Amino acid sequence: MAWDVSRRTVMSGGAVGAVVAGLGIGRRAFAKRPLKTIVIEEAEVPESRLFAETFVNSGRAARVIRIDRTLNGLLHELAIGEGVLVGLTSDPVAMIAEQVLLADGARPLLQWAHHYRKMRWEHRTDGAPALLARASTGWPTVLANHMQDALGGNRRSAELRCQSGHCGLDGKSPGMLVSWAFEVGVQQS
Amino acid sequence: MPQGVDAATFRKALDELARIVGNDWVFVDELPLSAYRDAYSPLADGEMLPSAAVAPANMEQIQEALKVFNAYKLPIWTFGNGRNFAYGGPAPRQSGYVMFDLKRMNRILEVNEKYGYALVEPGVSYFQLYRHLRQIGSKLWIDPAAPGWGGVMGNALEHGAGYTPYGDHFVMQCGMEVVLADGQVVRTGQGAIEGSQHWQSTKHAAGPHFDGMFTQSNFGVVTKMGIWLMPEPPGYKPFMITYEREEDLAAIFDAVKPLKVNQVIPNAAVAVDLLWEVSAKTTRRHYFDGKGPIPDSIRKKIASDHGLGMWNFYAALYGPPPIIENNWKLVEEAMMSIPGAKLHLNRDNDPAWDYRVRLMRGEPNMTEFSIMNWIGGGGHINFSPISAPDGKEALSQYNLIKQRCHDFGFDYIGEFLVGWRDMHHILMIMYDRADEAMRKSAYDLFGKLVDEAADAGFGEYRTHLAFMDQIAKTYKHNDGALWDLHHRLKDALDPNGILSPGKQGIWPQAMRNQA
Repeated sequence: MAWDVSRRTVMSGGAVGAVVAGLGIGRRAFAKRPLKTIVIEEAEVPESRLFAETFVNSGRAARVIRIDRTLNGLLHELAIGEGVLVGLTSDPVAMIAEQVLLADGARPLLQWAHHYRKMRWEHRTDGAPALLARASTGWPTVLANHMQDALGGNRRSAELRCQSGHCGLDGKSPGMLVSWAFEVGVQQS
Repeated sequence: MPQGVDAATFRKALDELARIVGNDWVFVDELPLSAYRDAYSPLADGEMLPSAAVAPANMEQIQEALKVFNAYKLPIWTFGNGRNFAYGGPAPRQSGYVMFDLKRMNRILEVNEKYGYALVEPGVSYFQLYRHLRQIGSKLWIDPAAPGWGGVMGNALEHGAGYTPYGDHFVMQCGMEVVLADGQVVRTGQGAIEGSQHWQSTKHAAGPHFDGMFTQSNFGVVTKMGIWLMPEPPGYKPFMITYEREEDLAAIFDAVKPLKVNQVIPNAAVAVDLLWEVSAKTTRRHYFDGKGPIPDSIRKKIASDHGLGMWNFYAALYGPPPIIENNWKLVEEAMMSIPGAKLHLNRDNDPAWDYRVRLMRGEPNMTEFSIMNWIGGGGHINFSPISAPDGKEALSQYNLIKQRCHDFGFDYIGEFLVGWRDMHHILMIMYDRADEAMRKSAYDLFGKLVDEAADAGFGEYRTHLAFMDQIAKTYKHNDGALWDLHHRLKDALDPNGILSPGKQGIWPQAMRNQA
């Protein structure tokens, strides 16, 4: 059971940086030494596949965990030892992953929202590049690159909203997605 | 901070608790405590947040911890797996409570193949029990709740339901071990006989049955529970029948009632409305980007595009093939007599069919969470009135609730689940958590439905934390005598009022006035 993992004592209090539900959580860059990055791909969601593919093509993904539509893999495959888990997924998948990972003592690094309405994608990120606003259906590629920079500590901390130009929505897309990253298995100081 | 406790006292209590359970299992920081919030809460952010969490490893640690909670009069909120989303998840009834997290107690203590039961601790999930049974080569099934990460014990204690013939989980519970607020350990039923081998075989014993008293309540901490498991049947025939018109609901229930009461259909059959059924496959924004409920013309297009009905009835037959064959004739004759009915014995590449078929044969999965994509933003609360499985009553309840949903700008998204002689109606009010106005409307709609349903004679069988008091007050017979009884028991068993104050609207004396 994942809960056999011993969790850090918090009796001393205040050791962890400010963490809130929602946007802009865990504003520290992730651990100084390089950690392997593992990408969660929600196989049914086209944007999730493109995001994962970008990570793989960039050589930054040590592994891709594919979650099928039963979503069962979220309960059985997230125990990766030590590393950073990233994903662009539907909202329910992000919620399940968050619940499982927090219970295992993972540290949230970022959580951004991507919402399709009125024929446009609206992105809420930290310091999104102008490219994200200009991208239409290819935005997950831009996002993957931006997230790699952000996890490397190269990002601004200001929350930013931007909208794409008019574009269609893939018939398989939920239209409301969350990009997220958690640091797993690293002893907090 | 817990209400009425100062910081120095609280720290002292936590130090004592840490000596009992270990430093690693007492939590006060925001990060670990964030795992105990209700991710889908219908309330504004910042409500129902714990002050700390304590995770004991065994019954002895529970007993010792209870001494500390009593000494400092700290209110605690006890839970097993905490996956009760739509009803509050692991979150406490009020901010400031100390979470009493029993997830570490996750042993499967016994599986009895001969008599078909398991004895489990509070942290055992459906997935865990399922995998364990497969690993040991058992021929027993489990009956999971729709998302399989839930707890076997917690779901039964909350009167939850599944979809095999063992779908009424409290009915299938047999024997409990409970730690009372003063630390005394009680075993119910035959478990009170020293050396009994029949604790999980029979519910019956001399004297009153107390098991029910420890469900949806705050009278004790349940540490062990028996659950009956269904032997794998030699045959299994799942099916879905689609019905074209909303008003067919009455005919569906009139047809299914004798099939259920006579156990021709042995499992928890369910009539699922169009939008619930289709939401595992597509989203609202693919069809309608406007405000308010989806127009009828678009609902018809959705049904046509996906080969669905306004109602989609799922059930299954189990047993030796000749019995299935014989019973199928009765089912077909009754259920297919409704004009426009279409039978489905298989559906390719249909996630909704796939997860229902898995659930009806006891395979846990998480697919039902996909339906949250319908609106996006994940918010949902379930309104769950209960009644008899009568066609006229079902239609009347549906029309009332659907109209109120529309009045508040929501789609009706619901299902009716039929037990032996009961009907659980589950309305899922979905909203985008990031849309404050929509969240508030969902909350207001729920409150109105509680009162209107009660006026029509319908009570809820289970509810979200935020509505427990309101629903408790709808049980009004003889000036609220039933909740008076609950309160008398509460005061006698837990005089310091430490165990889950306010659970199901049951408050200790000291907090009763504020409720």
